[in-house]
Amino acid sequence: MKKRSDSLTNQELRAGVLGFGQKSMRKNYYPELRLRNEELEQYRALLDQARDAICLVDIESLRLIDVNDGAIRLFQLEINKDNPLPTLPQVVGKKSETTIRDWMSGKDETKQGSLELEVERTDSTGKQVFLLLSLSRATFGDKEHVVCVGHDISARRHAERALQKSHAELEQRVLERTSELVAVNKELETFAYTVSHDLRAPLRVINGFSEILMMECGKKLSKDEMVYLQHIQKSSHEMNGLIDGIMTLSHSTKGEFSQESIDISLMANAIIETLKTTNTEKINYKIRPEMQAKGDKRLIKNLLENLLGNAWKYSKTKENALIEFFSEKQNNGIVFIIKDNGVGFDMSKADRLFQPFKRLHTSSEFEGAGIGLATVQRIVQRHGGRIWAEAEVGLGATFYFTLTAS
Amino acid sequence: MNNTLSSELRKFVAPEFVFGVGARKQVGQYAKNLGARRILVVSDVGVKKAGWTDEIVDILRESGFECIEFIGVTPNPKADEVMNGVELYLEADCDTIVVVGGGSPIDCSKGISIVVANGKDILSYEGIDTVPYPGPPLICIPTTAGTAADVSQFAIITDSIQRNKIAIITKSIVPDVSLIDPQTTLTMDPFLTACTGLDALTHAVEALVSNAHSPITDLHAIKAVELIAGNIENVIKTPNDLEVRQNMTLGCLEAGLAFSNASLGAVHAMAHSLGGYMDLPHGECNAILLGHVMDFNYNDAQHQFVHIAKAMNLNIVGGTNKQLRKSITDEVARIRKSVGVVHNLGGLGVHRTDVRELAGKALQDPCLLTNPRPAIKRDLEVLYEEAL
Repeated sequence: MKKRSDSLTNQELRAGVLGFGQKSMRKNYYPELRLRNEELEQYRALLDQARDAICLVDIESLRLIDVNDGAIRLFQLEINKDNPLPTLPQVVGKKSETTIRDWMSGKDETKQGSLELEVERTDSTGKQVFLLLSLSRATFGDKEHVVCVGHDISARRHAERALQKSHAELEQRVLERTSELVAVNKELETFAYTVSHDLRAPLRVINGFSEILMMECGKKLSKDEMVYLQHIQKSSHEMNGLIDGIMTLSHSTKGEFSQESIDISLMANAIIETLKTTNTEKINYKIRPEMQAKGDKRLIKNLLENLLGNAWKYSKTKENALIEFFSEKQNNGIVFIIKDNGVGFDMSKADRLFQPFKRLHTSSEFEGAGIGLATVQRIVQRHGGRIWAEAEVGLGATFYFTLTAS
Repeated sequence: MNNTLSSELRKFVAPEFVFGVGARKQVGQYAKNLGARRILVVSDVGVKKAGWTDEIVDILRESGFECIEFIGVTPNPKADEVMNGVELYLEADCDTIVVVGGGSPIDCSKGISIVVANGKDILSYEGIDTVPYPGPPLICIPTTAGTAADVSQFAIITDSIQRNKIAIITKSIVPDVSLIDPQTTLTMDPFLTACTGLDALTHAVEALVSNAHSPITDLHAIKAVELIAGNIENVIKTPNDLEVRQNMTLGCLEAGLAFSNASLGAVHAMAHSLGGYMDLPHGECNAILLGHVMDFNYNDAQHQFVHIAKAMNLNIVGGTNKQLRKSITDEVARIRKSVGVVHNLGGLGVHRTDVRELAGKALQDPCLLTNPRPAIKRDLEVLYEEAL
């Protein structure tokens, strides 16, 4: 228990009894009320500083009860004593009313706590304003109210729309460009095919008649005349080969495409057997058995014929020529490798390797039309794969290819 | 009258009050004026039984207020009763207190109001000027013509653990409004009427002889002595006479205005000690002690005792001081017996062995600060012994 003598003198205590104690002298509600009022004004000023719209909304009528300056700006409200404030749906669009009422009645259980929704309103100048509203409940005194905070997201939405528009435009342009390219390509292919096809007829005539001439008049012709005739025939054979190549090239990028499992080792062996029957040179070869691939059988066969044919062609002048065909696992795919120890090529010219009609060797050294590797590249690309080569002059060449995109 | 103003400052604080038959029915209007919404109505079982509490609650409900009743108050209100009231107030989110009853419910309400606004345990506000913030609006409807707690700056709460009454004295707890309706005193039984009447007489006498009395408090105190001495015997004889009841109620109010501003003296210091230590009725203790303390104080406040004698309508012309002293104390004793308060402290169960403890506690009571004659512990022991 506090003793009277503890801290204060009897004189001071007596003054307290008579109402002159500091706290009793201060007994007045006004300073406290003023302080609270200032605090409220301070909060109000803070609220008004916010760019967001902050509104107190009546839970029954959804009419705005109190709004900050942000709301007056954003909702273009007219504050005057004679007119009541509008309802929330009136300022943010009637469409939102059902959503808000469902949330309030608790129908939408997932959003019990607070509700977020995006609304769109047209301001008095006709400009579209996008708002992100968050609604929550608040109890003042005995009554429940809704507090609505509206954030202007117009800048973001307008930027998103502009971005979407330019995306769409770009897409459209790509589409247009692609279809133009497809048309041109198709035209070119048709042209190549037609030309090749149409060239065959006169070639057959040249070839046919030069053969007849050789058979029927061979004996009458001088030795030189006979050589001329043989030149004509050789050239017309070459031209026939060239036309075949162009047609294959043109076929390699169009026509049906099937995906089937292929024993690519078996296929390579068959091709080597054919090469052996049409060539006299003795060439060694090693083909890893049971290599499997997936792709179009006709196109893959064409690919192997070209690559193995090239290996043969450029190795046959070598002693102990060796052609190898095997595969390696790389990253997440299989790389097929065809390696020879033939004449090779100069790597500085490798960029021309797969271009049609570009050759790294002259026809007098090695015959050929310069279409084979161009065809091979297109076949690989059509399978979604990749092809590249490494070589050294005099030591041989190695071709690598994959048949699926890695 | 000793009208020489002392050099000390004097202050007079009184709540707004409405006095008269039917004053209680203004409660709705005043609750509205004070911005009430949910009201804690504090009362006790006796007043509730008499029907006053229900009547006030009905008026408040009809006026649109929500009411939460708290009738858990006993005579000599205890600190834990205050804290129970606080809990109920906060739980029900009340904003105003209306109290219907005598000194106990009113002091309990003051305690609730202090704790609600300031937070700590009620016992920590013991003393003078210890309450930092005024509490919520407090409307009093007193139903006894005695305590005048409805206009005073005092709240007396019992610390049941220490068996002690603590006094909280601050202008912060002067109620906002008091609706003083003599009609509510009609339901008091004769003994309660007598005890509360003698309590009011004690207030008036102690305020008059207080060393902090002033012309303004004297004015109210003298009127109070006149009214109480002139009506207390009649009110026992004719308890249903509303005019007599009205005079007693007015006397009590006048006494309250006086003592709230001039403070009290040794009678109250000693009675608080008895109430806290032995849970004895406050009014009865005052009645028993009054004569003894008046006798003890006489020489230090002779002028004031002359006013008392005049107000009691005693014939004092030509008498000596000694005769005057005797006639006043005799008159107080006579009135006490005449209204039926016949016991001495011994009759209430106080034993000689309690005296030291009682005197020790009374010595710490703030009411002793304004007793005209400085009292030491031995003085108080002697006074208790005389009253046994």
